[in-house]
Amino acid sequence: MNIRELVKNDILIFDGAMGTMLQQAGLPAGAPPEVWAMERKDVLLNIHRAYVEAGADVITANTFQANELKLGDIPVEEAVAFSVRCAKESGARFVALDIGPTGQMLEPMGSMTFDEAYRIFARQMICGEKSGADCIIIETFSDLYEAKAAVLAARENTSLPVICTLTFQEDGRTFVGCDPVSAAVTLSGLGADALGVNCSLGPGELLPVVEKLLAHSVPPVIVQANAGLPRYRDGETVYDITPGEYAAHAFEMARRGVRILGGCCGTTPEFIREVKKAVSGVPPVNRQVKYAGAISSGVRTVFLGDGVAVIGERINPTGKKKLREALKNGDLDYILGEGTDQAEAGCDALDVNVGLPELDEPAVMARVTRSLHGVVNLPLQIDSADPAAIEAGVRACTGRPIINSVNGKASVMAEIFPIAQKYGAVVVGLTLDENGIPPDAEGRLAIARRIVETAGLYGIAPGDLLIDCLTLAASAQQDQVMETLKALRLVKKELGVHTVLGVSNVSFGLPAREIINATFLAAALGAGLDAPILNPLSERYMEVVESFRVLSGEDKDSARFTQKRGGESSSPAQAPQAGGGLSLRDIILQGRREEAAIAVKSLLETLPPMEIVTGYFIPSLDIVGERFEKGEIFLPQLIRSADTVKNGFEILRERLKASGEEGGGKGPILLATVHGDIHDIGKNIVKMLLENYGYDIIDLGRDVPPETVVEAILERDIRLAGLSALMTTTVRSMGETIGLARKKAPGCRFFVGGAVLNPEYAQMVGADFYARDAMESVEIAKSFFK
Amino acid sequence: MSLRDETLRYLGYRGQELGPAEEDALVRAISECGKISKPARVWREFELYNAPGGLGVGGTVLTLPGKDVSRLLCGCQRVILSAVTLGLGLDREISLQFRRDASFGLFLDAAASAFIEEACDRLEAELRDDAQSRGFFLSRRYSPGYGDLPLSVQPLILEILDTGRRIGVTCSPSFIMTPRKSVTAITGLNKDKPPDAANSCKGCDKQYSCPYRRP
Repeated sequence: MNIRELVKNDILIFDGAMGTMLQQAGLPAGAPPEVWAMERKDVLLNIHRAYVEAGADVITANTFQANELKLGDIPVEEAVAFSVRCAKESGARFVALDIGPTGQMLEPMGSMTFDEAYRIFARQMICGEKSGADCIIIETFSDLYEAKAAVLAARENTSLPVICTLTFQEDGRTFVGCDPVSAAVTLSGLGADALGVNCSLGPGELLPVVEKLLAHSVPPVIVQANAGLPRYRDGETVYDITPGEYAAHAFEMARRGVRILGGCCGTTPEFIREVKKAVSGVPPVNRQVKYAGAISSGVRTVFLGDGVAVIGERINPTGKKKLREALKNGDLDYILGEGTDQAEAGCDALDVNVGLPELDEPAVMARVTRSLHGVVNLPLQIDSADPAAIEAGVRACTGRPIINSVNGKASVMAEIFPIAQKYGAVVVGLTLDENGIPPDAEGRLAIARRIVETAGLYGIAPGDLLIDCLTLAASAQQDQVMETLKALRLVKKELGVHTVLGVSNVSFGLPAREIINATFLAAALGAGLDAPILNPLSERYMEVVESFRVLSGEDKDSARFTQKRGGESSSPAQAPQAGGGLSLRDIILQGRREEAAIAVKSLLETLPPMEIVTGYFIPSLDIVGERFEKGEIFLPQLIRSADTVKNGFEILRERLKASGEEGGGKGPILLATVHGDIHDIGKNIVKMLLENYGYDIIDLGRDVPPETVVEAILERDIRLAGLSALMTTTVRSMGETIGLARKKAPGCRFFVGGAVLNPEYAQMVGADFYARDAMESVEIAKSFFK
Repeated sequence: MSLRDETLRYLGYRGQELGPAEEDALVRAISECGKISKPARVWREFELYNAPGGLGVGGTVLTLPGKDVSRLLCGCQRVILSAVTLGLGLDREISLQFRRDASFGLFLDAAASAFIEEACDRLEAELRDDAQSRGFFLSRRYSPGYGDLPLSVQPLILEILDTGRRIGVTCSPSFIMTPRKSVTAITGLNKDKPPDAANSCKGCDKQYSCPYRRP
């Protein structure tokens, strides 16, 4: 019988700590335990045997860090094979291949890529299966995204059951911020055979985490706690509960529905013996699991149907010139700004559409999705007509995403549902097919029913579908508006699905569109709409949503509404005035960020945009820059003035684009933080100042490989590029980047900057100019482009 | 030094006039930092011995190379390795704030640097009290990257302290720690004599050129 079958009826007992036992046997701190034990097989075998004798059903092979980053010269295959065989030799009923985290932070917080982590795990797993492991346990992860890489590596490269556990802290989250609900719904979606928690805390402290896992995990839950809280005694870590106490907690957990128990740091065979005694014979518990309709970012989970879930529509290039350009230029900053603005406006999920014919859509989708997770904590909706882009997007998501969309066409469902099934995504289903949109509610219900039935074949529950009954324009098909709402009520009632609707179509061709949209939104919410797709920056729509939440009872005691709107009637919001008559020059000098836009708008009534740049922005910035150089103001003051100009520039750009004139138009200048370095505040400051002076900036971001810099130089015919590095260790990449460019793109000149740089270093890496600070890069650009 | 003064020092402040906007940002940054940071720390004490190529840390596979650390730990019988962090949430908040209001982002980043130093100072004071109660003098703390102690010892120090599991600190191939506001330190324990107690800027080879030097 395999493990998948076994846990259906029996409680499964894992072994306890390996590290604790090896340290007791003399493992020096900092030495890789896998290598150390290879030279001491008897030590390892004795530990395994002690756990077998104590009653463990599953013995965990000593492979936690048997990966290419930690093993040094020893091939992964050799280390994994040795450790798995040793575990088997102990007489274990089952052997688990142990997979720990890589020890490096993944993008975007760190520099390791998902694909690299995946490859490292896959190498261990392929070998583990070959060596005879019966299952894989992925454990002690803090980053749900890294855990996802490991689970996918296991599922795509082996046929072994996969168990995955994260480690939570006292605040109920992992170090990376993942909460147990997000972990449970995400790992359930990815098809883990069991999921749970290990390490970090004692079993008593873990109980609240375990209860959340039990409430939201589809597969069985596993708990491997520490032997109490770690305490320091004479500089050493000790744990403070006895095997008996540990077993009492284990019994309590089994009674609540935990099916797999073992131990982590500080536990010994004695603990496992007691646990085995305590829990054997505890019957399976019928858990109530709340899973369908859960969407998650890995740090925040929203349950569709629990209330209104607003999906922000702004990351979509259709009809948005600025976003289209940002996508074409790889300007992530702008796109991420659209994400943070919508998050701040209070939406609950973000739609992500990057479909432009000239782009490598799957690659861009993955990059945008990945980066969005770094700045907003909202679940994402991956929106594309291209199945490859959809898969790239959902793969790059940390939590449980929504796929937008399938429809009633069999061919579309056959392409998209397997992706949704594999990654555990929620799916939007449009009620249209080969014959278009049925004119009546019954027709749309029939298509929705077909979608639900087909989804069922892939194991996708109705609650994991968001049916879109499609909004039509009132100006063209007035009778259709109410038909859509009728269909919405019908599909909800008949099929048990959730519903989604883009609202803004309804007003197409009419004046004052926001008014129509807002009224339609209110009507749709009244009809039971779960997830409106809208522009959350429209105050009017959010007012409808917020007030509906009061009326529907979702906003308990109107608390959120009162908090946000309380006192509003007494003091109408004051629009910022242009500084009591301050000139734009003074606004910039004083860094009055909020006032720049108004002052620029009023100047635009009499002046052409470029004259504002040359007559106001640049002279004022020159004064600020000079004050900074003289030490009369310090960095935050310089930056506030720069930010003020930036706000003013936004207004100018809109005007310039509208009139067909080009933007700043000077340059272009390429900027990048070099490979291996993820400190980019300095680079961002330089970017802001250069943009203020009217230069077009191509910002490649941080941790940029030399090849990428050179490609961009060649592609865009760049003549001046700026590189930043903060660490002595990454200054080397600066030299490599410039060296490569000298060979392949000799026409480009480089300026460099960053905390550890000085004129000597700059010369050493082969740079043409050294920028001591951000103002100096402006001087360099000015004299270069003279 | 107060958190306020330290925050300003990290911003390169040289006595310029602070307007209401700066005063406000300063207060807000320090308060936000207090709210968002999740300080965590871990340390272990070891015997120290002379090893080929540097000072050996007993019971581990770590050897501390270089003249500077030898000078620091000269005559010490024991050594404490420690790591302190403010957590990943703060990194996220700093980059978010920088995006929203760059000037305030700088204040928050600087305040976070002041916070992590303060957390290190606090740990050092506790370790000093503890050392004194056991009859030891404590050296000042020293970190990888200071003087001729290479950053390349960072991964091993983190491994020995098991920081990934204990406090969530990891390190990239170019030795950048995540979370950003994390510090590792080496502190010596001496039974016989107090080590020279200068502040950490004196004796540094950049003491005359560094913009962040302490007064």
